[in-house]
Amino acid sequence: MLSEESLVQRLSALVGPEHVVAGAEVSGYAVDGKTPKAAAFPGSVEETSAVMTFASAEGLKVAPWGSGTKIPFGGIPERVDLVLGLRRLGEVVDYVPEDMTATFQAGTPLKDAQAVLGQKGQWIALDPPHAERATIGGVLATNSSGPRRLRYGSSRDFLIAISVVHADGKITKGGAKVVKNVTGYDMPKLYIGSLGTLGIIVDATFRVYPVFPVEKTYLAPFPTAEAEQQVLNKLLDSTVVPNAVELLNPDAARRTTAQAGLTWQEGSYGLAVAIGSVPEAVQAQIAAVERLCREGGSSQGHILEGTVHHTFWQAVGDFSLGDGQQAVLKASVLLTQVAQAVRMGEAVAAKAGLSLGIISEAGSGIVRYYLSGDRPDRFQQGLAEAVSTLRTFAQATGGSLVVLEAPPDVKGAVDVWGSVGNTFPLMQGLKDQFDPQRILNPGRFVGGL
Amino acid sequence: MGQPTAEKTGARGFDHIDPPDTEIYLDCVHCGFCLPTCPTYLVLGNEMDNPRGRIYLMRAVDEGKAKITDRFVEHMNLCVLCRACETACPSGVKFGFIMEAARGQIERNYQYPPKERRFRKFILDTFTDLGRMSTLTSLLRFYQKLGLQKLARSSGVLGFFGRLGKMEALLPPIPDRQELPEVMPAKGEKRGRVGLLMGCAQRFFLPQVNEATARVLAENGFEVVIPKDQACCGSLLVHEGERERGKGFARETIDVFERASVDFIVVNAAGCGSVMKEYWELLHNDPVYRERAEAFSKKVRDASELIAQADLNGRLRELKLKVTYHDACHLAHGQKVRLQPRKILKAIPGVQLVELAESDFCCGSAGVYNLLEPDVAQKFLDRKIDRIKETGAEVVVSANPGCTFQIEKGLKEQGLNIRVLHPMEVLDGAYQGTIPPQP
Amino acid sequence: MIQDKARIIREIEQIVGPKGVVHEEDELRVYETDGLTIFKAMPDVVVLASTAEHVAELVKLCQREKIPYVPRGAGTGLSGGALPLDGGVMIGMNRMNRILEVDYDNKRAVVEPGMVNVWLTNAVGPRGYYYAPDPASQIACSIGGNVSENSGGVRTPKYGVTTNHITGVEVILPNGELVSLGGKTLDAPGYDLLGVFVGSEGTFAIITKVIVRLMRKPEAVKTLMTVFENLEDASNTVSGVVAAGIVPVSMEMMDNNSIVAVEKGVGAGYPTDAGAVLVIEVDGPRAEVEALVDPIRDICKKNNVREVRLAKDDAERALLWKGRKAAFAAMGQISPDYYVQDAVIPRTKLPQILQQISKFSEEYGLRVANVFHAGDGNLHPLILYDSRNEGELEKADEMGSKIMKACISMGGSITGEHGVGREKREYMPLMYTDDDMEAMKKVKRVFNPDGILNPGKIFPTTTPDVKVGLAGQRPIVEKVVGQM
Ligand code: SF4
Ligand code: SF4
Repeated sequence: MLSEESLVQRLSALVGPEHVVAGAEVSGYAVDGKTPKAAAFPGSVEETSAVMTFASAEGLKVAPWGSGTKIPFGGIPERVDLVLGLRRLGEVVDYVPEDMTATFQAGTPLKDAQAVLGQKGQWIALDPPHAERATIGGVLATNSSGPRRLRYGSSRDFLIAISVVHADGKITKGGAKVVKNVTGYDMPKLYIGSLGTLGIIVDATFRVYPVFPVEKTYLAPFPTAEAEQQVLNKLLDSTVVPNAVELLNPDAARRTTAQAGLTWQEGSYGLAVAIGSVPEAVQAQIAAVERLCREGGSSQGHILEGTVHHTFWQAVGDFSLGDGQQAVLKASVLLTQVAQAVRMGEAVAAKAGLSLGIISEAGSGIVRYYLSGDRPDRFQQGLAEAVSTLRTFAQATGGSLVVLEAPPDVKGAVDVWGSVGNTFPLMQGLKDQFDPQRILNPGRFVGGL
Repeated sequence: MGQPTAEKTGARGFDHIDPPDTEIYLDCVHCGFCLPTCPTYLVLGNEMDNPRGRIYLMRAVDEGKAKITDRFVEHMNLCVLCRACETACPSGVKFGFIMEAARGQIERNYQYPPKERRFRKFILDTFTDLGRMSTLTSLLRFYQKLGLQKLARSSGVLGFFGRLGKMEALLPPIPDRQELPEVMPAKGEKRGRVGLLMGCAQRFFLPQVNEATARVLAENGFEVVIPKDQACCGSLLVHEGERERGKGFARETIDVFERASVDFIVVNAAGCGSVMKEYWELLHNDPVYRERAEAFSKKVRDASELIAQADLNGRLRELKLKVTYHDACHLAHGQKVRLQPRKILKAIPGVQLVELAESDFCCGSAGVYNLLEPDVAQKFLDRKIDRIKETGAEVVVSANPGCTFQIEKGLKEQGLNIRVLHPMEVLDGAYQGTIPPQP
Repeated sequence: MIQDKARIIREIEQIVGPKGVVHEEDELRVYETDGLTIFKAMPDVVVLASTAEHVAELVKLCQREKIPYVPRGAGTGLSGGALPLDGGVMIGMNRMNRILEVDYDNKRAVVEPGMVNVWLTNAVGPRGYYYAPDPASQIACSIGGNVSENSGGVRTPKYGVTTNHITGVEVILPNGELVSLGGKTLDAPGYDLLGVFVGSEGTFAIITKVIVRLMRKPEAVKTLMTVFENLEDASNTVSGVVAAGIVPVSMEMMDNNSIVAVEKGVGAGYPTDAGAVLVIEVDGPRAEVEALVDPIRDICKKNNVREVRLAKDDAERALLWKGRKAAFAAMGQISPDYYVQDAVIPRTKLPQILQQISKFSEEYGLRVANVFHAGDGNLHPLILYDSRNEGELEKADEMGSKIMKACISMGGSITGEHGVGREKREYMPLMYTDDDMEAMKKVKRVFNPDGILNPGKIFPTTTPDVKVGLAGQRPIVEKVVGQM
């Protein structure tokens, strides 16, 4: 194994000394408490490739790093020798507004990409948590998405091409910069959500969408999650085309509305339905949503627009319980089971004495549980229970539950991903093919891949 | 066309008499759009029994790559000639023509096993020979009355008579025959003079349909001529590949109706109508009849087609009936007549028309298909009856005698109390104030 | 060998019963080609499976005996994807054509792979739902085939392609094991096996079940037939609509040759003297749709539209679409043969590529009918030729590859929805480097390690096999490979 000194030297030769971090400073790049020997920040795809060629020759375990917002995601890595930072890969590679396709390098903050597109009235239809800081590469590698996936789908639905640096330094691309393409296998999808374990995403091409002339939200308070479920079913069976349908438990509703400066009836669940279209259609649909909510037992709700609208949704994306030890779980369940999933979460949290915020992309069957507790011993045990109970529930109907974020000691005690059943051999096969030396994020993906 | 060269004939698996037209199957671009509309494909689930496959097989024989083998004959004969594929085909492949021609080739160039041959001959001869038909009806009436079915079964006479028994099962109670007058005067303002084709099966087994048709036509201003000397139109023979004999009947039919000097020839049996509208194709090589056949075909109308051209005459009384309409293949696909019968039914006060799912899916009757390929036909029938059940209708309207027999048989098998009536019978019923009682 | 074949057939009959086996040459012939007739390859046996168990047993048998095998759906494919290039066993999936479950509340339907695409929409239509991907062949093609090819259709500009509407499949892997990729819920943990499976052209595993997304029918739909004197005005209109931030459901363009063919074939009411017809459809909430019609009209006017006809009812709408969907097959009406391409270009390159194509057309003296998904830059130039004329076929072939290369040089793709299959495998290197393809092959090796499932597809190979010439209908040479 290389000494730290020669490691830094070699890396410096590849990316320039000013783009290598080592020594005390590198502790900021620890992954689940595992501190790398160095972090390198290549300035081009070729440099990235060179670093990987070097890493694979030396058998260095590599953790890719964007802006660090999703670093807590995944299992605890077996080892981290080198953090590969992508922040310097921040170029707009290609953008043709009339074609509605745009290519960005992986280190580009999503926010910057949106700003570029926004000048032409377009956007990448992604609104993941921490959208202010997240990078394109990180969002893709963790398959992060937000409320508006109801309308647009997630990355897999509009990522059309990708370039990847493989474990051995080879650069390949998949897909094409056209909105419709079936030449060869659909490789871009393989890397989405793969947590960098198959290769390092260096650039990505999206099919982009026009932003709406107007987006407004109807936010309704409900006495129970079940009542919301009823309205959700009716709403999804109607001709209203919502951009997002978000269900919030009383705690989450209270906090997010407070941030947006709205009054909220203590103890009420919230149902937020965002509508985007031309003004006439927004108005008509908001009215239809309001009617459905009122008929479904909601009291008077809020119509959010302008800055309030913006702040509310930002609060939803950046939601956090604030203090104590924190964990975020994400369940994927049937649309008809959202209320039940909420109830189950409430029951386990109450039993374990944990605080709980729930934000659910109810129209997509995604339920996020934000758990916190101030007593570390109880937190770990309570969380383990929550994971097991909620996972059993979700899996019973083909769904899943993953731990998005948790302190390392807690992660060590639970299975972050859950079983993937008899598809595991296929996944293992992919890992063996793409990264036979296991140098990319080893141990962080499903089944310890 | 012209005479094929000797060399060409040598390489080809078809002889030079009336072979399937090469240009037609070259129109097939092999897109497969016709597959899901083909009843035999849906029931049998293999590609030899769908239009595209059949065309491909014909072409292979034509190009000399394959021969007229048992398998080839099987797949050609399993085609019900419903022509649903023609409706679906964007490339305009005239499937019916090439299939009829292929069957002609089979008749000449293929030896059926003796038993099969005898049965086919019997069926075709009987259904196209009015004398025999009349004997057969008397025989069958006798058979029905005496319950010979039991006898046939208990005496273990299978094969030929067993299959005849199947035929009997198809037939409704046979009413005693009534004679229609040779000419029926038009009521009200005269719109034209029409000749009515009696049809073979219609005339013997469903005479009431002819009577209703004549009355409805008269009611709507048509003078109706019913030539006594009309014979079989030849449709069954054409479908089954006996083209030469079919042509004989066609010529005779043309003669008869030319003599009657009518504006239209009205047909109330879809199978007959579809072939008569295509006499021009059948006789296109006949120098004497070619032009006459063209003129004739242009005058042929299905009864509903003619009646629906204008608003209905006369006073329609209310019929409280929930009906559903079955699209006979030879009407919907063969003649593209779909809307007219529905229009007529909807015009009758009190009649509620419920659409039948898969309404143009073959019921399995298809000429004499149900006699020649009973197992496959039964599967079509079961499917049809299931769809009919779903509608909750009291009456199924069918504009083809074959379909009527077949559907009645299916309803009977399942013990369903649903009537099958011709659109002309329903309309006539509206004029009379009531539909005819169950015979 | 024949002896062995007899034994294999006996074993197969034990799995599916004698009625599920086709093995006489007379009958096998109909399985030697699919929707693209320039390639032919005869299987040794065709087996018509009715259950997933059948498929699993057949796969095990083939793997054990090292017999190549390939699934076939409705046989409407346009890239030769279902051809048994090495002979062997063809597994017909068309009998597995049922809807197993419709779950409206969860917006899912579970169907068997042989299910005909449009049957699903017909079945859920009365309840206000539909299945969005609608390839032109939807009246015949199977959903399993759609999944394998990742089929498109005319709704892709707004609703995407097949992959966007599949949430799960159940497949039999080459090792005989049944696995589920995805399911009714979203975001299954682990690699997106489902994502890479859709569009794998039958080279990974055999599909036995598909879970699809059901879409709620929109409140309103408006379909406009816009008529232009030339393709350029029509193309500019497409760009104009996009630039206005409108996402139509479809924008479909046809040139004069196509219009004439369609009119002869199905009579959709397109004016036969027009230079181009552009069909634009928008859907969604009524107020939204209504607000979009006028701006679209204005854009059309700016681009010298001759006529804008708004379909007044469902029947008229259906007819407009019927015309468009019948366009390929209707070519039979104006030309003895045609060769269809499926290239994609960035939408802004439309006028350029059209110019190129008409240049090629002059150069080669062959007519071209252009039918395309203008909304997503997916071109279907149909090169019209007559194989009875000496050398035309070769010219068509050459011209086809020139068009393809021109598209790639504009940053496009060689296939937008038909797949690579056998037809375009030699063109893969135009788009991908060896390393790119090696990454794809790695995935293939994971699923299909010894490659006997659907061999010879997608990737260029040095093994020669049949190319019977480009005859739409009249192959010049015919050679059948792979007798067992
Ligand atoms: S639809 Fe017409 S062209 Fe297509 S396969 Fe059937 S017969 Fe041939
Ligand atoms: S005529 Fe009817 S049975 Fe015969 S091939 Fe056509 S659709 Fe099938």
